[in-house]
Amino acid sequence: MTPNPPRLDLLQGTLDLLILRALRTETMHGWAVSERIQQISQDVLQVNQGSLYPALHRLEHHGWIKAEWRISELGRRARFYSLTGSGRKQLELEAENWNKLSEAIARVLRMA
Amino acid sequence: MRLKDFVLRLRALLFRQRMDEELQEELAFHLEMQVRKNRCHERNPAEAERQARLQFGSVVTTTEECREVRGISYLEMLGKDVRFAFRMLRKSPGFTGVALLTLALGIGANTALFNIVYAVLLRPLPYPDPDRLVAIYSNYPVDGNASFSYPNFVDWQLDNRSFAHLAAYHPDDFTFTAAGEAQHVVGERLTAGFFDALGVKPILGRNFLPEEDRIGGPPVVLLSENFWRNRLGSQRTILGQSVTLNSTVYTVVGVIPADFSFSGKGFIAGDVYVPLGQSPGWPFQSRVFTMDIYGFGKLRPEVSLAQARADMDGVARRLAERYPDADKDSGIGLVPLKQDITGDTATLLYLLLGAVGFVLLIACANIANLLLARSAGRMREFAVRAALGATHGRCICQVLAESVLLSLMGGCLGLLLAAWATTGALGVVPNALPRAEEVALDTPVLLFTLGISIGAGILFGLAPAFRMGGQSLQEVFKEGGRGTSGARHRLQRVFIVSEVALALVLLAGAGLMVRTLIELESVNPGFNPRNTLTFSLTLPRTLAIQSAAALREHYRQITENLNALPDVEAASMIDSYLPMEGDDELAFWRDEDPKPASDSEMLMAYDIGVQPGYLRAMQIPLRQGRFFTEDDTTRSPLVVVVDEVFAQTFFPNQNPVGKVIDLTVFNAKAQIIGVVGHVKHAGLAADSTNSTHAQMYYACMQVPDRIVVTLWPLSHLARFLVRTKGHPLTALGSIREILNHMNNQQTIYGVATLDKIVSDSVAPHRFTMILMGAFAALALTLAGVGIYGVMSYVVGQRTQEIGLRIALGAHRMDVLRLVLGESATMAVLGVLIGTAAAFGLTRLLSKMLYGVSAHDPLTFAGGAILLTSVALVASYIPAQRAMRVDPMVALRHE
Repeated sequence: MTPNPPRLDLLQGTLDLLILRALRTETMHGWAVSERIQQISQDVLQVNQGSLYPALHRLEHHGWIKAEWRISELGRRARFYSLTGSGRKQLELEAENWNKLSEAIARVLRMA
Repeated sequence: MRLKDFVLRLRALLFRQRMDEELQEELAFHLEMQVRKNRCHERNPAEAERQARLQFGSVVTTTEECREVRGISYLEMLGKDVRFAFRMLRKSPGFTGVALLTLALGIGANTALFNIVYAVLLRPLPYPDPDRLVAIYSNYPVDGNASFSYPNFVDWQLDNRSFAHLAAYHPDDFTFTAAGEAQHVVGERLTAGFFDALGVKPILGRNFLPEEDRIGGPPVVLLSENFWRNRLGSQRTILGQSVTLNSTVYTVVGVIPADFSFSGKGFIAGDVYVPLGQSPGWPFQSRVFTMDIYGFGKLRPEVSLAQARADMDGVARRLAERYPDADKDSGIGLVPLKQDITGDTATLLYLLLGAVGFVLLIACANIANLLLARSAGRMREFAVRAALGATHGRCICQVLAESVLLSLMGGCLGLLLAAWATTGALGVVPNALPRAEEVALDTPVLLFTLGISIGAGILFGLAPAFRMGGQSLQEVFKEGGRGTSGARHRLQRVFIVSEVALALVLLAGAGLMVRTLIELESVNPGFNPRNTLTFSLTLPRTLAIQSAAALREHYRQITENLNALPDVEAASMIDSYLPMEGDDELAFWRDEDPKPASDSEMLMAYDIGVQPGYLRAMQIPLRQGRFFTEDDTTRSPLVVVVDEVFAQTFFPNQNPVGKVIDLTVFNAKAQIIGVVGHVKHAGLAADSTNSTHAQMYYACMQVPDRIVVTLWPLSHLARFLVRTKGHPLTALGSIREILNHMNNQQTIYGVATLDKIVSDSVAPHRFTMILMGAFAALALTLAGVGIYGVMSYVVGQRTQEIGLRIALGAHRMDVLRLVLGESATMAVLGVLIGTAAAFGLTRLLSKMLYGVSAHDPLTFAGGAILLTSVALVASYIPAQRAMRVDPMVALRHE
């Protein structure tokens, strides 16, 4: 077992961005979404599983992702999420915003 | 809220259970996946599962959050609030009952009035393209819009470029003869395009054709559905059959549906319709003489009213050039049909709607006060809710749900009340409003009721809602459950003062209307309407085609026979309109002056053709000279009698008796033989000194042959006036008998007492007075109940304080004074504010007032005193209760 790397709590709103990004290429169920985020971020980002589902439902409510019941790897049915057209646009928008923000913060930090 | 959002929420609500199950399944799946993952490094399955649960956190919280995202919450909450509100209302039936009654009265009165306003003013006329319908009149510099002559109308039709249809009508009476029996029927003479312009299709047959609408056209008739069903046995074979009207045989070409109605000037949806263009006699062919012909047009789609006016001005100008004698000064007046029909009633009805709105405001203030008082008892309940996590918003929602539920229930009761009150209001004073037959509770009215119910509920719920929602735990328990009494009392006082102010405005309005009616009833109309009866007579068929001399003799005999009846004091024929029913004007010039060059320069006066008995039957005083006698006939010189205003206007400072005037229609000189008192012909409120109301009487028996033959058989012009010894209607039996005895083909119709005619002439005033009176009475009652409620509550809240005062030696009278003083202060403050408001608002009523100023100090003072007295009486019972407070009981209470 390797020692856990330090984990960061997710900023409010960034979870949505990460979920949308995770679903961009692939349709997957909730648990897989949280695993994917953790994997890609090399375990730096820890998704609070309790807040994952409200976030998924919220995105679905906005119409950015859609859900359907499919048979999972366990052989029982699970709710699979995929990105919709408007979700794709939303992802671009949020990603751009995020980049602007992080660049701005980086610049401030460099100045200081 | 976006529609999609709403659909999702609705789905969430309807399929709530399934969605919950799916959520549980989804979360369970997640946990299982997590357990599997944990198993990779954890041997113990139980431990793996425990860790998975730990990592996940609270399933319940997640479930709640997901649900909230899905948005079932507030619809669900609303349902809960309503159910709870319902239970709360049921728990306090006393409060609920009073509140419901108050609301039912307030909302009911508003609905009833809006119902009338909607039907009369707002609902489009019941014809296709109602906005393109325009009433058309001859327009004169002095008289304004008036009826027009038929030849002019025909020229309007030919010359205009603005109208798709132009129609005219003339209300008329007919004698319908079937199986040897004569019946009076009401009908209209109308132009061929009349029903087409209104989009009315006959249920059988067809409308008139243009070639039928001219002199010499085939006599054709359209029947009303009712006439066809009730008198002709609804046979479908009626088309092509003939009916006899006024001794002419007409062929039936169609049947007009029973739901046809038209409220244009003078129009009566009668039993029979015949083409106007066929009408017999020179009056219909004269450009000078107008015969109560009215009309309307339907504008072409692309033509505006202003364009049509310009066009018709041109038409009128060309007519004036071509016929200067008749049309030199007459223009053409166009008024949108709906506006023409509703006329002055718009201002009046909106005024009444405003007044009834005040009643609802008072009702709302009352209920807000009741709720405020009740909220005191529920402070703890809400504090506990807040302590258990209810947000401020949730508490406000709860209170609002209660008040809106209350007002919706009140609205339902109000609707029932309104259905009854509308018929009541219209029944008490018929003829006061145009389009009254179109009044019906329909969708817009129901929406209005729903709207004001919800509005009222929110309005009276707001104050208590914020008071409750804003309560902090600490404060409530600190106050020992009595709430922040000071602030709440202040609000309640504000409500009471406003109620009193609103009620005063209504009282002032109602008072002014009562004064107006009293003034109008005390006006001397110039004649005595008691015990007088008027009726019209159908002319026997055989007589209608006889000579003028025979007709004169027939009418003379009728009057003679009537005069001979023991019940009858005096009788006379009238060859024109009775006072307050209409007017007929005759052009003339003074014989000493040269004959005026054109008709428009003639002098004008009201003219009434009568018989010698008229003066006694009407009890009009003779001022000078003599009245007609039986000796004034066609063989003796033509004479006229004039009234005081005529004498002063045309022969100022001279003796008019003996003067000679030239009468146009008679084509003869007439000598003035007497002067009689002025009669308020144009209505009780008319200005009797106005020179345009000058009157002139001529003797029926001296009317030239030409006029007798054409006009008298138009039976509605031959009316009789009878002064009876007892009640006029009891004499009717013997009158019928004698007339039937003379000739069994003459029947009486249009029976009315002069009392009724006079009272109908002030119907709009009476209608206003009754409604304003009802609203004011309602306002007064509600204000009284409101003051009683608040004072009772205040006394209840201050029992300890009062007990303490008494224990410390306060006199019981001091206590009484304390309570009464408080309510008197509120009443006086309300009265002051109300007087100021009424001062500004009663001006709006001034058009309806007669003999009293809109700022009549007596009425205002009366209202103020009445209102203050009611306030004192209403607070007397609570004051007495305060006086009887036992200091021991009061102090031990805590």
